[in-house]
Amino acid sequence: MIKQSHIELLNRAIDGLTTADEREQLRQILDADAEARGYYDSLLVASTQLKKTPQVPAPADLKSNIMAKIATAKPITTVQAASHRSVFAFLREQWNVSTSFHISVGVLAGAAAVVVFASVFNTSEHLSVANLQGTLMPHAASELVLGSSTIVAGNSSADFKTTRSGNQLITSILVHTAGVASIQVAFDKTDLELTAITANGQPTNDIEPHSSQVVLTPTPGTQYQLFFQDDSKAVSLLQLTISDGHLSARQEVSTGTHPAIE
Amino acid sequence: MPVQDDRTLVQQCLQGDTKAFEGLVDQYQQAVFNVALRMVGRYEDAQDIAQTVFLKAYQNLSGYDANFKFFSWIYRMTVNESLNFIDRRRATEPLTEALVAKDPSPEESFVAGQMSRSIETAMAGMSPENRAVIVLRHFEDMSYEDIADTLRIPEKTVKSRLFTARRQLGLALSEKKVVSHD
Repeated sequence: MIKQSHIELLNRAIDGLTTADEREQLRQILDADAEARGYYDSLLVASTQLKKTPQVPAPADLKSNIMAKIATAKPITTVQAASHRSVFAFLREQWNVSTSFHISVGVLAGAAAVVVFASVFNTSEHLSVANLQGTLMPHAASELVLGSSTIVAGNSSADFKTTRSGNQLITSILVHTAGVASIQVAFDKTDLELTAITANGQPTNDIEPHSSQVVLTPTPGTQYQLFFQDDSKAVSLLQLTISDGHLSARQEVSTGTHPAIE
Repeated sequence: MPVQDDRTLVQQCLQGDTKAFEGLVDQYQQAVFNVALRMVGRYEDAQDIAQTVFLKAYQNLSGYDANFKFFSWIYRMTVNESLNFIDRRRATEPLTEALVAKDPSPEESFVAGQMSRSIETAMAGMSPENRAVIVLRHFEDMSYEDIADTLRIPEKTVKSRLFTARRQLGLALSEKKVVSHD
């Protein structure tokens, strides 16, 4: 059994990240341990073969095809939104603040750190809400609002709000006008698992396994909710697109957060 | 990578200068296409994915956060688009059959001439997540930190996936006796 620290060192060597001292240590390990030698040899085989695999030239017409698609792409129309970016940036800022609070206060008194942390948490949630213009249902005390916006495409508009409660994300959608042909919610399914869709609280829409998007044909006045399980809590994006059949508008919501600001 | 230049191009593009987007395409089309190709294994599919990635990048450019590196953003889109493609394909055909096609098209034959068949086969046996890390590290020469930023996973997860994938690749290649002593 090769030690984990040796595996790390052998791989660092393959990546050319070792220091002179580490290279000497590596030499000693390889001299003394046949298993480590076999492991290292297999890494060398992989690395050598990968290096010998050249870049493949991109198709000659790739750029012209891309630019042609862009030239005919539907314009992204006005997005009237409370800036989810600013909210997210604020949260990141708060995380930095809470980290430094944690470290400094934790050195002085562990118990006091808990109090400070709670204070930071309350502040961040309060200020997040203050930045929003949601007309959807108020969020529960334990929820963190990640983004809220009114998206307009042509004469159509809808309110969106995405909140986090623990490992669950909820995207709420309220359509104002009759002209909304479709609403698409796209997401990174590597980070988010869609678990339920409701319309006015009633389950609706079959969820297609492994799908990375949902397309709704909304009824005005109906509140839709999409429930996501987010165990990774990685920084990820929800893309919300509203279309009136001719024009579309899109907004992105960063879903990631850090446990410290939950 | 010219991070500052990227940001300038993005800004110009957001101000309505479509020509500036051509600069971003020039800068990244080769990398985006190759990442997609290593991920999905088929020339035409990689071409489609590259087009989709740039179109999505253009349409979502206002959502790009300049606090992050542009190449991390577009690489992440490429990997995610490739993973989504693999999932859709998995529903209709086994991955290994898809990646190791028996009757290559002319384009695929061209690729096969340049991309080691043994590497291609060995990579087909990996999970797509591990393959992504190998592609970014070995084909795009990205650091652990940049891979972590791109895939939005912790650096220790990058290392874990990389070490596992590399070992798996080495064993698979050794078994096929493709070891080169040059």
